[in-house]
Amino acid sequence: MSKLFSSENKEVFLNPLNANNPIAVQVLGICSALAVTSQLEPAIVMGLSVTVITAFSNVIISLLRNTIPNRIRIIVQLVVVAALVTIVSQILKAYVYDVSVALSVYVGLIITNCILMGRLEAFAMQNGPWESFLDGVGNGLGYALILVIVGFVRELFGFGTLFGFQVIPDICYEWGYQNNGMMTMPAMSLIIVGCVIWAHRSINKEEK
Amino acid sequence: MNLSKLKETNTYIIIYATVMVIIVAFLLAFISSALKPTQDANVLRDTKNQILISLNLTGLKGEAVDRKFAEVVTDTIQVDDKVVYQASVEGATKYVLPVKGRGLWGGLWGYISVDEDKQHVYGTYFDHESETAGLGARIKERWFQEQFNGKPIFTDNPQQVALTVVKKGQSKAETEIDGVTGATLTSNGVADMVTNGLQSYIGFLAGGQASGCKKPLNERCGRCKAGMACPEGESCEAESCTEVEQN
Repeated sequence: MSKLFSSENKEVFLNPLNANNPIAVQVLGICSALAVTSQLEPAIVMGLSVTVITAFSNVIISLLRNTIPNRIRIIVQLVVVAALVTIVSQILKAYVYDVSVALSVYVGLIITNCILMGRLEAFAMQNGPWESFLDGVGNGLGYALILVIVGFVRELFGFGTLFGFQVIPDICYEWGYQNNGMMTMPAMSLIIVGCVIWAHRSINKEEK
Repeated sequence: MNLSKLKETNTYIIIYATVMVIIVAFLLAFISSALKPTQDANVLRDTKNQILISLNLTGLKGEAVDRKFAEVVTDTIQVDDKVVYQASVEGATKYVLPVKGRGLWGGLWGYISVDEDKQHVYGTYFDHESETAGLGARIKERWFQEQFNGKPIFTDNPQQVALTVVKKGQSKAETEIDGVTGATLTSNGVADMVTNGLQSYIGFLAGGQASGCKKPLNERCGRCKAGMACPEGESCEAESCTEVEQN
């Protein structure tokens, strides 16, 4: 990896969005994906938070990678991630209080998100800051993409709303349509994530 | 000695870790203190919104919460060590009583608003720290809270709060509210919080009020007002119940 071309950088960025998606292919970060996706807004904020944290922790670790002692590298990575998570959580509390209440402990739990540690260990420790940044943004968005899909399905069928606005017209309810209470439960998001992975794998198989 | 060798020495590791932790600590302390005022304002506004929801004024966000709160809540009354909010909703006086309790996993809290006669619930708001999502956490949903609306607080005894929560489908009296299915312990927590919470305001709810056969407060003697037995030849009870109730 001595010389990096833009096509390779593009690959670094686009790969985690589809072919190597952290949730659909690597099946990482499932815990938070199940917990925060009952509505679209928290799902998007969570996706963006993870994207920001992955990108910046990747950059910081990549900048420090030649100075980090091998024996305490995991600790250094954790401290960087924990600091960024705390900062993001404080910012959410100050500027989008409702969403931070909805996300509750899951912002703090980003620290233990496998995607983060995975990218730091596997990518940022070996690559330059710019590539690491792209890799972080790519993986974060790959994660966010699945969260948004699941959040969209769950909010639409569970509450009949999108972003809190009613989209299923009243007349449907008058004809006997009911919101699916199952959709609001975490178990349902596991099933939806399963369906997304199924669809994703059968599409990618055809391409091969 | 080159860097790759140097960085594996113990001295380097200790210095590296120390410097890193100090930098991070200062950074976090700075950010935390910079954002504290905004966060506190959010918490305050959230509390105001909870009080408004207990007065059945829902769906408010942002600045609208502050405006509505200033418009509706007219006064605060000190009851023992607690604060009761006096509010005026559509011309009628309501009192909002804050209550606290314990659920299955953590704290519960809520606001109960009562009508001016202090005999009926006007509205409620309940919230929790960490009840199970989909089960105990449903006490935060409006359908549960709205069950309390218009319910009487007392039955026969005006000194004993009767309003409580029972298992779903077992409510017989007017003062028994259906709990949440599958969340018995959280529902019990809400029952304790409502009954004991309101009971702790008994002086406010029943005091100075022509409740039962007690004389109005201004006609009672000093000992009666203090809740002690009355002196010989006097009575704290009214001459006739009907006479007092007409007041």
